[in-house]
Amino acid sequence: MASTGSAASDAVVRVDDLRVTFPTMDGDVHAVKGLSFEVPAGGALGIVGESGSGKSVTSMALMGLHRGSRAEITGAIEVAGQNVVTASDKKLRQMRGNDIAMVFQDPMQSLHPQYTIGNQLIEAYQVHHPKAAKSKARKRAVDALGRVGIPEPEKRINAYPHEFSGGMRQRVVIAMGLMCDPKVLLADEPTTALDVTVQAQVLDLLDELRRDLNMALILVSHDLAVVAGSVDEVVVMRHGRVVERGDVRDVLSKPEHPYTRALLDAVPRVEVSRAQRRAQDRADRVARDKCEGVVTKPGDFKAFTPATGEGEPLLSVRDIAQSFKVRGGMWGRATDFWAVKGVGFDLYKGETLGIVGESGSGKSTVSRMIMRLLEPSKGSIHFEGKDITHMRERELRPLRRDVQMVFQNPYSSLNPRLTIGESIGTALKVQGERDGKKIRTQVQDLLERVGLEPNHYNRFPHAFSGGQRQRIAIARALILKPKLIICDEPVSALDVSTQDQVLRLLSELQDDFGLTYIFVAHDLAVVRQVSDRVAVMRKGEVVEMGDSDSVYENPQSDYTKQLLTAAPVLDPDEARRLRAERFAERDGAAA
Amino acid sequence: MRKRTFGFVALGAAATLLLSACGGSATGGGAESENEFDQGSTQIVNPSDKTGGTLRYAIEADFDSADPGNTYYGWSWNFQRYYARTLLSFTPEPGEAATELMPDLAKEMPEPNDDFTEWTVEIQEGLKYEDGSEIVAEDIKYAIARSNFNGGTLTLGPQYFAEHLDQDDHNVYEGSDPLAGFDSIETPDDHTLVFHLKKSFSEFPNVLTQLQTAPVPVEADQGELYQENVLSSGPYKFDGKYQPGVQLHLERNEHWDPDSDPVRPALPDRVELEIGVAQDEIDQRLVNGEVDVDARGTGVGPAMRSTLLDDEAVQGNLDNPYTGALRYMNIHTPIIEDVACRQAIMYAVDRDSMWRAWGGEPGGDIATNLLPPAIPGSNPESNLYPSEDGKGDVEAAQAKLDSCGEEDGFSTTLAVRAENDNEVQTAESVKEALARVNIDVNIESYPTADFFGQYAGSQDFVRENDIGLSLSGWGPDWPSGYGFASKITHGNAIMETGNFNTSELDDPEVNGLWDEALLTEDPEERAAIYEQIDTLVMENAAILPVVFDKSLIYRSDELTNAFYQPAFMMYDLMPLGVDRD
Amino acid sequence: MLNYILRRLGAGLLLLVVVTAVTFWIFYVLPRWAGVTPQGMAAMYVGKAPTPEAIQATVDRLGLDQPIAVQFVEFLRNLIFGQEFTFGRQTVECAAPCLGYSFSTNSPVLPQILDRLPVTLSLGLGAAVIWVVGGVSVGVLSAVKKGSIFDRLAMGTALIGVSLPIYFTGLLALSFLVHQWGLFPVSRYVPFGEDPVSWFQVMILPWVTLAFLHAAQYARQTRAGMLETLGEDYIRTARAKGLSERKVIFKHALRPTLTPILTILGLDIGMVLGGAILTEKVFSLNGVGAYAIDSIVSKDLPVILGVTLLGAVFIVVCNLIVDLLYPVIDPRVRITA
Repeated sequence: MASTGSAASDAVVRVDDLRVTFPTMDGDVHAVKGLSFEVPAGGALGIVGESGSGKSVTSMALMGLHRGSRAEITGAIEVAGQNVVTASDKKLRQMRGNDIAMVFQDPMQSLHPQYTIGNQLIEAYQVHHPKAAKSKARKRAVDALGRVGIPEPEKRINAYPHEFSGGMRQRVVIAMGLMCDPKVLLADEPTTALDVTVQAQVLDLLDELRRDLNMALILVSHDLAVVAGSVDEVVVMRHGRVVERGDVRDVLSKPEHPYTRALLDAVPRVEVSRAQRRAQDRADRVARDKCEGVVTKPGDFKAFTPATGEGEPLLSVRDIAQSFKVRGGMWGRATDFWAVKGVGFDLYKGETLGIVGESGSGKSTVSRMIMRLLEPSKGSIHFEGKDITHMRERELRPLRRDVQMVFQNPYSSLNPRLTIGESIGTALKVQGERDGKKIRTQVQDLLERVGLEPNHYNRFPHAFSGGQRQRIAIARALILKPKLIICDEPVSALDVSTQDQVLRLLSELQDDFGLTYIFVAHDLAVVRQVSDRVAVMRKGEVVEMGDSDSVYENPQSDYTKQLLTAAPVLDPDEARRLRAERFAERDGAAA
Repeated sequence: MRKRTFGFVALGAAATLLLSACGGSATGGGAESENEFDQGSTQIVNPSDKTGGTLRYAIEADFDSADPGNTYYGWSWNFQRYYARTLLSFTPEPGEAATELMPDLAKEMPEPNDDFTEWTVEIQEGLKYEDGSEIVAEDIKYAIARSNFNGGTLTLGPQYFAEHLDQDDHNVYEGSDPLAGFDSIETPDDHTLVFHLKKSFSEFPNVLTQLQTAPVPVEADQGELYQENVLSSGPYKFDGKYQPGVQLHLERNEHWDPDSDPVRPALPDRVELEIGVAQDEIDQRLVNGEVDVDARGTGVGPAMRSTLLDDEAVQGNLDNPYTGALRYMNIHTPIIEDVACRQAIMYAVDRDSMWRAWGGEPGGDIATNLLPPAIPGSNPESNLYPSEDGKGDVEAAQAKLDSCGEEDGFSTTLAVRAENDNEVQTAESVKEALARVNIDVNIESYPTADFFGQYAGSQDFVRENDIGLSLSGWGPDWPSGYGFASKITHGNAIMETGNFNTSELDDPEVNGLWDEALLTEDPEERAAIYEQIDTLVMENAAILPVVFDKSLIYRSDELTNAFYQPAFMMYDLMPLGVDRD
Repeated sequence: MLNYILRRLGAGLLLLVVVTAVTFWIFYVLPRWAGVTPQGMAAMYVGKAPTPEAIQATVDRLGLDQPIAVQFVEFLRNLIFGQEFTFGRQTVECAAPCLGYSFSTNSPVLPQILDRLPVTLSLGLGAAVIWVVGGVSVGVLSAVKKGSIFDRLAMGTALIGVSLPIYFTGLLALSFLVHQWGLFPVSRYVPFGEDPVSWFQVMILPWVTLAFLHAAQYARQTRAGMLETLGEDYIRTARAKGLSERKVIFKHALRPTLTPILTILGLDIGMVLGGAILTEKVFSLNGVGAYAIDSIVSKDLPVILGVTLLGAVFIVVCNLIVDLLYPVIDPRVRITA
């Protein structure tokens, strides 16, 4: 495809004053308000922004995927010399997949579940090479799969998407993008749903491909740390506008715009310890309270500094294990799969235990066993000295009040047909409170406490943003004055700035109510900042447990080390160094 | 056989084509009929001796059984004569003559002895079954024996022979010789039958018109399965098996001798009965000329009824005869014991409003006596409980209540059949009318299928639930006072369950008159006795007549020789033919 | 796989026993609880002149006075091993699976059902073809042209279709298309083997009427499923590959949409083959459904048991077929039980 030759001839993507507007009943929504950038062949651009910044709208516009919707697009988008905005549908289709390929956020969803990956890869080639022989297309598919690091591509080509892990699926999607040697690869949040180690691998792969194939890469993410090591230039977006644009090193080290600075500050850093973070949070709070005229005595916080190792633990877990029956094979014989095998710890009042691990590590199973949503197959759990391991449902009622849970996705855990007031108040009713007025007052107080308005009582969940919903979920957990709250990935679905606010809230609540937390997450940095102690889990076992600072600063197990090197860092040079380390390790392993 | 089915379908298609060409009025198009409204009730409409064609019947519900020895449905008694000849028959003429008897298989009318306990009848010689074998007297004897003395194998037919023959317990299906010990019927030769009865029975010849006298050779009998392939003695035989719920097709029986049969002109070449066609669909096809006769004979359904009555153009195609039945209310004598209390009810009801519940003029006539108009001895003019405009005589009713010591009225329960709209409305009317004299009626409805088996016809149930009233309907087994009313008024007819003498009337005078009638040879004298019984039943206030209901029948112009036969309470099916161009 | 099928068939068999037991319970035990004596039950089959002798004979003949459990075991035994019946002086072998003889017509139940089965099969399968093809095409078109006049019209019609009962649409169709305008012949069922053309002519109206009811549901399901599928990420992926819209719809979106519909279809076909009672009644087709309703009206127990069993068999088999097809259509589904 010949370039039209105008303007900067080395730029394969040129966006000039792009505006995207969605007409709605309540007036026009301007999702993108004048965006301009260009990417040279083989160059890499990062687009960073939180939800609602317009970054995903932009990436859809680059592919012309707004066609057929009501979106109004003005400005110019030029990809490989072709104007996406004005091209005919046919031209556009010829371009998609051929000149510019896209890798999407959720690899679980972006492959068709009912066709083999071979079928989907070959289709991607044949649509642009209708005359190509099937065998040739197949060979290309095998090559592409091999190129992205799928082992035994000859065999795996006939597998279905569900037979691959998330990281492998994302490689398949990338392979599909490579089928027609595109000039531009557009990756929209390609690693958000993946574990840290896998995330690192996928980012490494994208970086490698870009260099080897001389493709331009546009990497869209909400996470500055993700783009840091992979791009040359970065665009920070907010509310549809560019707030800052420049060389990645400059932007990250010397951010000019306050928003960029705030964003950088909100990113949880793995090097910040629990003590530092808590001190910071408390200081901020005192400062804030001062502004509002509330006097906080420093002594107020002391009461809730955890009493380490002394006295009766609130929760005592001994060697618990959980097995599930799994049927497999032609003959359907059931085998036991041990999701958790032998986990034990003590948890004291006012303390926070962080459990960190990748998907499949068994960390969620542990929390569900403690909640007694599952009955442990082995081991014992004592809560306040009582053995709850095999308690029957009726006896468990007090436990249901004393132990509460906050889930990752607050939207699906809130009933859309109940107002949030009702949602929160239900628990009180279940526990026997009859006075409706009393319930209302109590709920409204709590809403205020978690940073919402009392008059939100009568609104429905859909009227709230993700962060607000998580606050509602926290309020719902708090209403019964529990002794232990288990937070299962409470912030992983939130933007960094919101994430920061929710973490602060949890910390404040711990100060105020002397709460005890178990904090389950995959994000190493987040876990470090909230946990007094940390347990690192892998394949159902605790590989390392201890005081959080020592685990992070002086990891004993190889797995913990591996996790720490895989964690994305904000410093582009440090990121590159870690990448080189990973490559070296891989090549070393291969050799 | 298969080819013919195909032919029928093609014919149907052609007929519809023709119809659509006519522009399709609701009534099938064509010229207005030359005939008159209700002409078939008293005259033969479209008399013709034209033979050939296929006579097409349709019906919604199946036979109870296609076995002539095992059926009790009125239409079935009429229809099965196509393949089953009986000893005697009703005269195939319209009007009063229809209830007179004539020989069918018999040579002449049977001869009784002096006290009507022995009857002798001779059958014609040279009669043949469809397979060419000869019909002999013993086959008739066997047919009767199997129909009433079968150890419970065939239970659906009437039990007059079991009741009247002087016969010990017998079961034709036990032992090697089915007729060993069956001596209440003698067959001195191949063509003579002698019946010995327990008691005098002057109306016995009426029983000999029933299908159970149609001959069955012992070898052909397959018990319950005989209905699948009945051995024909009539002008038609089964074309293939009888398929329950689906169809019964008949073709000509070449061994039938027209000269021997005074009853059946057998005009069509084929007779086809389609079973399981929805009533509305039958009515629609009837009016469109796609079916010739609704075999059930009780007329069109309620939907078509109003359409037809409103359509001037079809009046000439309609007959509105009595169904032959009486719709009435039983006043249960064991519950409402005092006759004066029962009479109070007779006075208090509003006959006019009950008549409206049955559809007014085309629905039937107000009944004030027991015996339906077509039955000898009936006097529809008699009315023991008159009132102005039939609205009820409240004062007379109150006087009767006073005399039975229930001045302030009483309360009782009225049982109705849930599925019968007319009856439910009648019940409402009764409730309203009786409330005028403080008789509080509580209406309870029960399922039709078990109404007599478990509810109103169960003595225990009636007593336990204090059911004083029940609505019912009754048609004659043969058109005489005895054939109509003995089962509902004779004390002997009271049963523990399945009780049709539901009022449990057991009046010595009435019983005595019934017995007397059976000793009386002259039909006119018998008619006089029946009229007496009628009056006595009314005096006893055991049965409250509501209406002699009428059906509305659509008569196709292509149908020949159609007339209403009161003995069957529908058209006589045997003379029917079709005249299609 | 074979193991799975056997296990499913075993479960199906168990279900059939349960269905039989429940039917038995409803028609044999419940009346007894309500105080109906064996004689009372027998009276239903004795006709208009129920003499005590005839009733008692019927009780004996049908074994109604035996304990329920004995009757039930007897029924199952006859089903498995067959039974000998005496009619008059003849003994007739009722070979396994023997469903016995109708109480009211004395005809053998199984041959009666098998005689009527072709009618019901013709009706059910024919209608299914029409409603699937019709419903799915309309649903797809509606989804693709969401909000258009076609969409609104089709969904409005579908709403009407779902809410109109067969006896309304059926009678309307009969009254106008057959009787008034004569567009279709008045006729009864003609076996396909005898005259395919007539068979088609007779069946087309019942098909369309029955299909209309179901098609409406399928159209709505397809539309909803299609819209949901079109919002899936893999559809965006397909578009991003440069596929044409036709290919996106028919290759990528239709298959996942149809997957859940297959489950409904299995159930629906199973139900219809068990007897489309209303359709058969309205169109005076003598199928299994009409037989079922007649038997219920006349409390003909062996027939009721027979048709209930047949219906259950169809549902079990259709579900099994659907479950076996599922992994073929959706590779994520692995057969486990």
